[in-house]
Amino acid sequence: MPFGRFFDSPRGPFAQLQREMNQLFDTLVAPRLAVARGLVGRTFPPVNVYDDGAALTLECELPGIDQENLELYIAGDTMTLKGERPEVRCDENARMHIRERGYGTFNRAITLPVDVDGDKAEARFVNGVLRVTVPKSPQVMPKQVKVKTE
Amino acid sequence: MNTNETSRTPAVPEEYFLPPVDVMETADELVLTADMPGVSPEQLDVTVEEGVLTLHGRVSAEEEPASRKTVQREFLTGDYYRQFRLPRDFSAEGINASLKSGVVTIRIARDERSKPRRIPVQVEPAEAERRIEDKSGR
Repeated sequence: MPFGRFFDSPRGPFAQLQREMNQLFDTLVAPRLAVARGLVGRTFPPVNVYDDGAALTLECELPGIDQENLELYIAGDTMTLKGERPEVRCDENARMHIRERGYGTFNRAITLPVDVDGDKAEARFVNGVLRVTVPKSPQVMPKQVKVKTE
Repeated sequence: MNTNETSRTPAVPEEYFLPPVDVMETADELVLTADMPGVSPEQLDVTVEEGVLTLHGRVSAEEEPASRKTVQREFLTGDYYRQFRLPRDFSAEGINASLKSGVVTIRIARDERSKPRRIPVQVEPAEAERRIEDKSGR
């Protein structure tokens, strides 16, 4: 897996980032919070999962991935995302100064808190963010039981 | 002094994420690629001022249903902001930015003046002959 390939390099993105951060703090008023956010050394893709009562909503950051190269599967309580992120190609006449973005294939399975009805899932991919809404499986939804008196 | 100077300068957000970038230099241009998922073209500002390139992507938090419970959170959303000092031989003249699938690509053309030129070195035949004579005479 090429993800994380540059993680250990002393001339890699972290050293570079450190230099830039220093520069940033030298030249600007220090912000309250500046967070470096990279794909390198991180689980890719990052996923947020929300419980909306009758349905689950999943958000997933997939910058630079073509819709055609993205596969989404839902079965039971598992959502699987497969795809490939293209590399910035650098030929012999070019030089790479900074490389912080990861690239390569990914295949991630996310376990959901409950079983879902994958057939009714809706997925939208906008500006590199995938949003999936999927209803919970009828089996896991609470059923009201009529209480009878004798 | 240009009075518009201050209004053109984008405000630095209080909290922001530094987007990861790739920077590649070719003979003709500098290509900067930045990951800014969630940013639409209308929310992206790319400015160059006094040799400093600024990327600012605004991400407004979506309103969440009150009944929503977070099960797992692996990323936060917010503005992206990052500045780069451009090398002297790249100017704001030939710059273009595009945004696709949350990835910003900025191409900055190299100034024509600073492109490497090959200067032909000629050895005059007479000079060459004299050198050979010097060697043989030793």
